[in-house]
Amino acid sequence: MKKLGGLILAISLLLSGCSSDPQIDLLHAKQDEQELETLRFILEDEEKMSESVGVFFDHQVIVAVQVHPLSKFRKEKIEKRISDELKKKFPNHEIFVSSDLKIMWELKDLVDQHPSEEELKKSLADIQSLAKEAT
Amino acid sequence: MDAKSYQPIVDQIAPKRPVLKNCMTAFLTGGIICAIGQLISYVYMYFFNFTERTASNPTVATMVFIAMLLTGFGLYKKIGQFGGAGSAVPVTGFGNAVISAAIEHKSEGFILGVGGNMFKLAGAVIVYGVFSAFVVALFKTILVSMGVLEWS
Amino acid sequence: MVMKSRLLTFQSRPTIISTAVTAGPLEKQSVFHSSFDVIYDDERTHLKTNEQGNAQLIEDTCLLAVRKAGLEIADIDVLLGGDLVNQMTPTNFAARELAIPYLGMFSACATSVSSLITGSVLIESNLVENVLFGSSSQHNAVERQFRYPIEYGAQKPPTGQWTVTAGGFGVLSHSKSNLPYVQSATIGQVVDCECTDPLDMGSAMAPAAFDTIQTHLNENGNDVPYDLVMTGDLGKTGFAILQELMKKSGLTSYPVKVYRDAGAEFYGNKSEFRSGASGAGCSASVYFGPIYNDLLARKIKKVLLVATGALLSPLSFQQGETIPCIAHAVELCID
Repeated sequence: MKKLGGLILAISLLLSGCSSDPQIDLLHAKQDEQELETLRFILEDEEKMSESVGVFFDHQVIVAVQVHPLSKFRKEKIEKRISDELKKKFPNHEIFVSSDLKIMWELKDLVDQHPSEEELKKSLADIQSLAKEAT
Repeated sequence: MDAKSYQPIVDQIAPKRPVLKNCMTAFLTGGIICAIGQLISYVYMYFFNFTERTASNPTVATMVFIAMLLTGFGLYKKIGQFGGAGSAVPVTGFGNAVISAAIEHKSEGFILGVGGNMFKLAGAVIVYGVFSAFVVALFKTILVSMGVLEWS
Repeated sequence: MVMKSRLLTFQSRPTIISTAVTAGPLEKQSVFHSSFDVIYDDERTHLKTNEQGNAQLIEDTCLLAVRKAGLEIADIDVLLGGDLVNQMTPTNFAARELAIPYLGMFSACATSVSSLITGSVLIESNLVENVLFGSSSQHNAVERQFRYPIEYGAQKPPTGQWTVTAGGFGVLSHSKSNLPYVQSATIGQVVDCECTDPLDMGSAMAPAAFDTIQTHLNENGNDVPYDLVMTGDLGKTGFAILQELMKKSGLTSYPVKVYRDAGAEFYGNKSEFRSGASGAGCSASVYFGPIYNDLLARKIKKVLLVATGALLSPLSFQQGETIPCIAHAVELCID
């Protein structure tokens, strides 16, 4: 009986573990607060997400998101939905959205490093080419 | 004695497969194998330039390599006896099926022995894997062309 | 020789003048290991293939049995034996090395007794002097043929059995005093109770064993009680079923002190061997090892040995055929 109780506790912990508020990290090369706020608003609105990172650079918006485990099957749809919304809000920007964990990690590193414009350009190109690699 | 009156005696006396226990150990074994696989794919993503999508290839290769070592050292059959489907269903089980057959038939030479028999167990997985993929793709094509579904 | 319906009674008392038993490394764990003459430290006896190992085991066992009888291999008039590998190549190849007249025998795991019965008939007919008889099996060679590759991680059910690596051979000769002799025998009929699970051979073979025991005990009307009736490789499952069948039919009222099964006892109660041992070497090594020794020591004086065999091939059960089984019985006595 004790074992069963432990099992139920473990399962309920597992299922409820990721319900905290999503963490959002943003970076803007030109420090445009208004654009950042718009992006933050869009990302906060998406409830299937646990974490997201966004970077503005030279008319590009690059966003990486992590969806909740149970929504992973609809990952591509969520990507597309965010991408469409961003296109509407930033019609002059090139939009890139990925739900890949690796892109997420790389983008987060980039945000934490506060890089120079030159570094940012190179890194972003690298990250985007990573995503294009075929399996 | 006839077969009809005999089978009930067998059913009554012969020990049954402990299905519930087998399911639990299979769940545990399969879960552990998949957790190891997840760990390896994180290693490939963290230390190398693989994305979630591209990391799956080297992960599978690594898991099959580990299965090969375990099979060669005679450990995989012990895991298999404990884990049942839990160790047979993940890709390590596929690796084990290929490698055990290759080891077994080495005595008949490399062409007719290893080459000819390597896939004698795993061949079924390939044949029906490809076939069922074809059937699923066919259904989806029909549903999409009828407008019921969309491509992803 | 007098044939009373199915019972063969040997009046000339064909005598087993010596036996030899060899076994693989794993069989050290057997409860009978102290009665084995040779236990190899390598499953293949340091040869390249499992099948070569099996052939070497047969050759060694035959030569040892002949030497223990105080004979030369040239004194043997005929070798009767078999194993479980396709077309019995191990026994055939061993016979090539021994270079004596040879008759291959196949009754699956019942070959130990079928070769002894055939040998007894030859001795009784007075056409030959010395017969070498027996059978063997090699775990890896047999498993790869009947089931999966050795290293494949398939889960064995609790009814599964473990093919032994062992061989038992003996030399049969004309009557000699103070040695166990063949009193009578029953050649089994093929019994098929429509069992289909190749991982549950015990259940398939139990009806055959029951049929042969019943026939033998019914027709052998003498009152001297049996010290032991021992089946070959029914395993724990098959042996339990056999006991149930006997209880149902009232066969337990026969004058038999104890029923045992070689396969169920072979590895003791170790769970990794599931239901117990099986294979042509299982009954041969137990009958011609510990049981023969017990007869010599007169711990038991009259035994009925009932070796059971499942007559299936990998092809037959994949084609959905049932598993027909056979059991041969031979009665050994010592004065």
